[in-house]
Amino acid sequence: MLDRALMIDTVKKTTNNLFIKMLSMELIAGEPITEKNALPLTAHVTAVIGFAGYYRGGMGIYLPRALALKMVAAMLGVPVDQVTIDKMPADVKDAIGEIVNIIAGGAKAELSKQGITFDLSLPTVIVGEKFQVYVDNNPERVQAVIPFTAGEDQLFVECNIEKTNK
Amino acid sequence: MKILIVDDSKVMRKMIQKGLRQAGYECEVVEAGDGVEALEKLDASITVVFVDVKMPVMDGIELVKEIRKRGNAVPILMITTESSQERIDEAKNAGANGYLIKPFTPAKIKKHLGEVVEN
Repeated sequence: MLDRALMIDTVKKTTNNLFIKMLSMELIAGEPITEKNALPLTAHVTAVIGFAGYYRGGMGIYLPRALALKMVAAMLGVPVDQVTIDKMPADVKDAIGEIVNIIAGGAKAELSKQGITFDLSLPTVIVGEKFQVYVDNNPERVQAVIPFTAGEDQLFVECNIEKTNK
Repeated sequence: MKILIVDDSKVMRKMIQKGLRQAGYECEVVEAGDGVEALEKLDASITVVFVDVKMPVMDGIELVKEIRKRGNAVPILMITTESSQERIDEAKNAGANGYLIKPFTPAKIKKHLGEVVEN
């Protein structure tokens, strides 16, 4: 049975798991945001992935520029001062797209144990700062934004899921 | 050891190489971005193949089936975010020897690589 607490716990667990295992970064999770309003997200690199099947929805990870560069550098095994978004857009897209894919893949595996099954779309990566994310008013949809702190940087992971008629 | 890493993500190919180094392996690495390129680069000198499941052109399951169809018994380790038993069975039935789930650590690479090479 899908509920917000299960989704939030799953996203926290899979996000932490990825940051520790693949990036050697410790995360501290903050209080999830669930109000149905525009959310105060600031990010420079965003990756989103869709869910479709018996359940549908999606997930997004919202990263400040500095953290995105640290993550790409850690994945490529190069010093962070060698990574730039302007000169390496394909690597940034590739790396941050993989990040959301792995977090969503972990969530998919965990939630499927509770009968909440869906397939994942290919990820989309967006670079830019001028946007807002809204939590909608659909009562069927479970949605939350979870803030995390990684050292001096803050990132957000948003997730929304609803059952389909399939 | 000469390893063929097949993944459409260049970053993941680099991460696997980094993981192999951190796990203590000194190996020569050949990279391929999809199944078709992998078949072109797979020769008798390759000792282990890492294969991502989701790839364009020819996906990982198709690639493993094709390698086995050609009579090649090279050890194959699948890499994926999909950890359901159904997916693991699909990979094993296709002919994969092991299954490495992302996110992985160097220790996990060492464990799974050790298992497929020893077997």
